[in-house]
Amino acid sequence: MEARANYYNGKSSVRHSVLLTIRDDSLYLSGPQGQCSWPLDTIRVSAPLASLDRTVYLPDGGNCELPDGAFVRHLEGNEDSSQRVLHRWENSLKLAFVALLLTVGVVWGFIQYGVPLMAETAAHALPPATEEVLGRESLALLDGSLFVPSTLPETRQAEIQTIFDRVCASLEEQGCALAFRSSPQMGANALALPGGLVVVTDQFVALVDNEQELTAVLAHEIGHVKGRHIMRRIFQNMGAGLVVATLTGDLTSVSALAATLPAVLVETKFSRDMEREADDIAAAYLRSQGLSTAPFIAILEKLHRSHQNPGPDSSESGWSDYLSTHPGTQERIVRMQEPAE
Amino acid sequence: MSVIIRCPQCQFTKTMPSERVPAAGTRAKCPQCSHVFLLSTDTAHQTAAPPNAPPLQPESGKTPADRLVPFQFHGTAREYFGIWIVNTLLKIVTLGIYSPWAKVRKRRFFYANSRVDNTSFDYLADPLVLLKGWVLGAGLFIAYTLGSNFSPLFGNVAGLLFLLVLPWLVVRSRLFNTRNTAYRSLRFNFKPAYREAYAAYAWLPLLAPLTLGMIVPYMYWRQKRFLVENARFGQTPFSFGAGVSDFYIIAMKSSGLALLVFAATFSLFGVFGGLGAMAAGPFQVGTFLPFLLLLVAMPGYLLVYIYFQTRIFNLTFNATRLGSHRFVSRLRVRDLFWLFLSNALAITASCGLLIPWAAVRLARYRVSHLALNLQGSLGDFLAASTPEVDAAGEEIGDIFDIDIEIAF
Repeated sequence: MEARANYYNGKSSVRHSVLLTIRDDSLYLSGPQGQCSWPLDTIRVSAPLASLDRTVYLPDGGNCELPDGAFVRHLEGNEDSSQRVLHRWENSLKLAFVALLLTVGVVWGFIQYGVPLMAETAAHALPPATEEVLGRESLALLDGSLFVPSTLPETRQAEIQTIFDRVCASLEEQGCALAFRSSPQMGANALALPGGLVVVTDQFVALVDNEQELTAVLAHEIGHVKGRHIMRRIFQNMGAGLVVATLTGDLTSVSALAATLPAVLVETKFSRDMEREADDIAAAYLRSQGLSTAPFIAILEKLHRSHQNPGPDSSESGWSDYLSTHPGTQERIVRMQEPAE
Repeated sequence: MSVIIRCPQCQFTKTMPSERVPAAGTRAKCPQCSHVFLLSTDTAHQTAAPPNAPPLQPESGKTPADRLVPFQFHGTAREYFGIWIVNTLLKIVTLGIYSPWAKVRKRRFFYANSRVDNTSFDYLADPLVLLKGWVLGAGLFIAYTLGSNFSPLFGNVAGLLFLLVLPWLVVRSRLFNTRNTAYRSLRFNFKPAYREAYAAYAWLPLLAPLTLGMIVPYMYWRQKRFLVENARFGQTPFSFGAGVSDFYIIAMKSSGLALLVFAATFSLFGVFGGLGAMAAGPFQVGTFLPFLLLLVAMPGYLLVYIYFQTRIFNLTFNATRLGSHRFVSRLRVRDLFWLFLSNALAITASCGLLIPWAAVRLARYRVSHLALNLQGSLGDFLAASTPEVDAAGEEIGDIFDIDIEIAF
């Protein structure tokens, strides 16, 4: 078997036109400077890729370039058949489309099931001590920025604490703690931090009209604690971030701008899923206590109103709903009513 | 027997079996630059010698004294689509572990399709070496993401540490990439000049805010000089002849352009604000602002960014010599602006499916606007010994998305 090739000797960049011959398990190279030969098993051939020329790497550092064909295939023998499978896969348009469909399916499945499942496992596996440290760190961070000390009277705080303890006990969630803060910037709000720490703002306490409303919101926040939502959210965003980074790793810097939108959409989807989950826990709790979900609906509406800028046209637009971290209030109210009917 | 056809316009060459070549006088269209020319005995050279003539000739040494040899890119979007989609799928299915293999296939595609003087570049990195670096980088990435989620202090400390290791990463990454790039069986190499790397990538960036950014063009100059002057091909070093003042001129022109874009956006705000005040009801200024930003400010700043990068790129390459050979880079700002804008639109509109097309299109433009002004031949370089180097710098830099601009 014979082939012509360009030969570079690995010592200088001079190009030689040579004749390659395979004979008796050896490769013979004959050029103007003479002839050399190497046993076939010392010769390595570059993996096939697209329609590129193949490079034959010789043991002394030299190499030959020649088009893909019977000669090269004889040289490479049976080494690394996985590379040939890859090459066939990449080169067939039909198989490439199969790969495309598989990719879309795997990404969807991963975002929908894989990432949340892994995040949940990781969140529940995290030692409670670590989570508590994280919770304290987060609270310290908020104290330094958004929170000021609460001005709620001690008696009112004690009342709320009693309700909180009751909900905790019946939801079988130990290790919850309640903290009171005031936040003019945040307004009426209740939030769950890592380690089972629930914070309510004075502004929120001022907004509630009765004990049932308070119970409903506290149950919702304890729902977040029960589901380890904060840690899950952090793990999920990290996982999704890695998926998106893997997908868009080929992008050049400017087109990478387009890659931030899917990441944001995925993050808000996770966040809204968790709000729904916490709503469901709260609603189930209220029903189990023989209470109505009506106070929950009332407080949701009040919270919604309190966070809107006073304006003539304040109906939620499709866009803001899409990018919001909470489901639309209307949607949450409808969900609240459904199982009750 | 085969024949080489050379395009008289761009010097693109194609080898064809002689029986498939049409008769002289037939019109041919160059697949590279679309130039139409008549086939003649000048454009078609027979290469294969008759069977019994002395067949083996080393490259002829009597090349013209001074000739411009263009770089060429032969890859197609169709071929890269296959490589890209299989890479993407396997990376996701293996949770990223496949990425070193994917990277080698991708790099080999782009390197080997880039040719100068009818020889391609070769990327020789071993995926297993890359994998070790990848594992280290992924571990650091997870630690960093987790840590900075809870403690802003951790984020700051990590950021400072990162600035301190960045120059080291730059050197290691350049070492790895140059030593794994070969042309005509000779490897490139890089001199690990850590002291100079720290000056260009750590101390000068730290000084930049103190000098209100006045030092930034000087910093860019030091960085480019560092990357070029420490690189070598075989035993032959690259040299860098650009002056600092050229970098300052480009920076000033870019700032002027940025001011113009800012003024245009600002005055448009004024016009729309005025209109909004007059038209009551549904036409509120607020509704237009995002669109205004999208339509004017973003392409405007993209233009400034591309202007700066392109001019710096041309300046750097045109001032770079390899031995006595000079590089010529002729990128045009308007072409690149259009390429980036249309690529971004195409990628967004196709949900990412046109990424391979965009990447090949950009590579073809960049490579084919580069040329080498040869003094003599490319045959007189000699090899140097190049020890193996680990891939930690290259992979950590990759995971944290530091783009260390490559010389090839």
